[in-house]
Amino acid sequence: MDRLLASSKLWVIYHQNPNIVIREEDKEAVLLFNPDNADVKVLNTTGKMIWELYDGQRSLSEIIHILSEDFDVQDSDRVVEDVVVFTDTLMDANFIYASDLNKDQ
Amino acid sequence: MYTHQLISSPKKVDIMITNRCNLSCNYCSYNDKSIRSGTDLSTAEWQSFFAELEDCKVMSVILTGGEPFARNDILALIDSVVVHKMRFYIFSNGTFITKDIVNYLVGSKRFDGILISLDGSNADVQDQISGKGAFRLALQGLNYLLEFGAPVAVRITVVRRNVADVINNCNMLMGLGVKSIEVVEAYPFGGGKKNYDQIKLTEIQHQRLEDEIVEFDKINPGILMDSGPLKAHRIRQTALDSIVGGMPPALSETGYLSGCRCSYRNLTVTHDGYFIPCMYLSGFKLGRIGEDSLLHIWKNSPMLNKLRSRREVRLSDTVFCKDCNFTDLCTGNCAGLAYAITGDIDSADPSTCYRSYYDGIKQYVH
Repeated sequence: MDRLLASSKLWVIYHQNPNIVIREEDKEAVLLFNPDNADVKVLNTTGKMIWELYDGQRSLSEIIHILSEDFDVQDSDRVVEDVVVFTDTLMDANFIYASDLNKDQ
Repeated sequence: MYTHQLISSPKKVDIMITNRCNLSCNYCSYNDKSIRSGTDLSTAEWQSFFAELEDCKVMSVILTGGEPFARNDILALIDSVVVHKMRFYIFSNGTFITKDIVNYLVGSKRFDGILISLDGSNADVQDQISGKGAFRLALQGLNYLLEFGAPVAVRITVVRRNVADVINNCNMLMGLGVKSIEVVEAYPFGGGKKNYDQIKLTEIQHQRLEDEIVEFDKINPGILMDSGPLKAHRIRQTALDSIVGGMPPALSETGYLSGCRCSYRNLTVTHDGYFIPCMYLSGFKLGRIGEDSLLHIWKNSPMLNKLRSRREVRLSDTVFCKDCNFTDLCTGNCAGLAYAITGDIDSADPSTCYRSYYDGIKQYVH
């Protein structure tokens, strides 16, 4: 992954798309459904935790920090890469959206 | 024995949104007073129910009837489906479809598609089945849908009157630009049951239809949906592969009444607000909108649980399949058809029975 590109995303704040249908099928998995494009994502426990952290308050950097602490991760580069890729996937299918920084300022 | 986890709520709900229809097809399940009785729920009652579906995390609905567009408020109801975060699919006879309606459907961004019933390739055939003027209006609606690039499929329900016209119809529809066609025989439900003696194909007609459909599918792969005679042929072909070629059964969970999985996925609601397992089991009322919660029914209905437990019933233990040599290849198919034909919910569906075709298969085996 392009480190510069990844680092530029770390300060972005993400929001859950309010149209997303969230089906909790069991304690370990959650199914997200986007009715606007019929896309479905199934998240495991970690994915579900990240999803819940897209609260429109925290930057991606803060989300990564929380995950690193909770999971006591040694390889921080790997966490950054995994979370950025995961976030990009959800962004591409409009499950989340980024704050408009220009507007917010 | 197989065990299965039940999902938290149905992902899809079939909604028979009205009992009204402008046509009078004699095979239609709604062409029967016992099913058609009762009053349609009001706009407000449906809108309230759609809010409940959102709370239950239902992802999509199929709007059927009757004829959904016979309701003057259908677009307001679709608006409500969209507001409550669901997608929708429509079963329709096509006769009310206008350019404005197609524009609206496509513009909603939640439109999964529409299945239009068109049983004849010309007015002579179609109007005899559905009523005067049906062909012209349905064809006009279909053309509007195709013109706007809407996701549209066509269902041809085969009865004696149109059995000789099915391939003509398929070719005509392909010529119009239809990319998906479903050919099914009339089922013995509602009006279809009442008039079954008049509409049911003879054995010769049935076999000829299957041969023609299989041939059409070879020449035009991907156009016909996997249902009706084509599906029956494919299922029996897999059995033949197993018997002759020693291949493992292509279906999963064979040997049990596992073929029908609807009760694990879906729920249906009638025009007057009753929850039923599916449109083919409309006699089994599980509860009612406004009186019973969908989630309670989904998780606790004794009838739904009975349907789910069919997967634990060995085919060889059922009356219909006793002594059958094909039970290790079979899953019993549709519970609704099984009940309609045999009156026994714990029976295999005789309409797709291997044993019924045993003589035909036997000549290949020996």
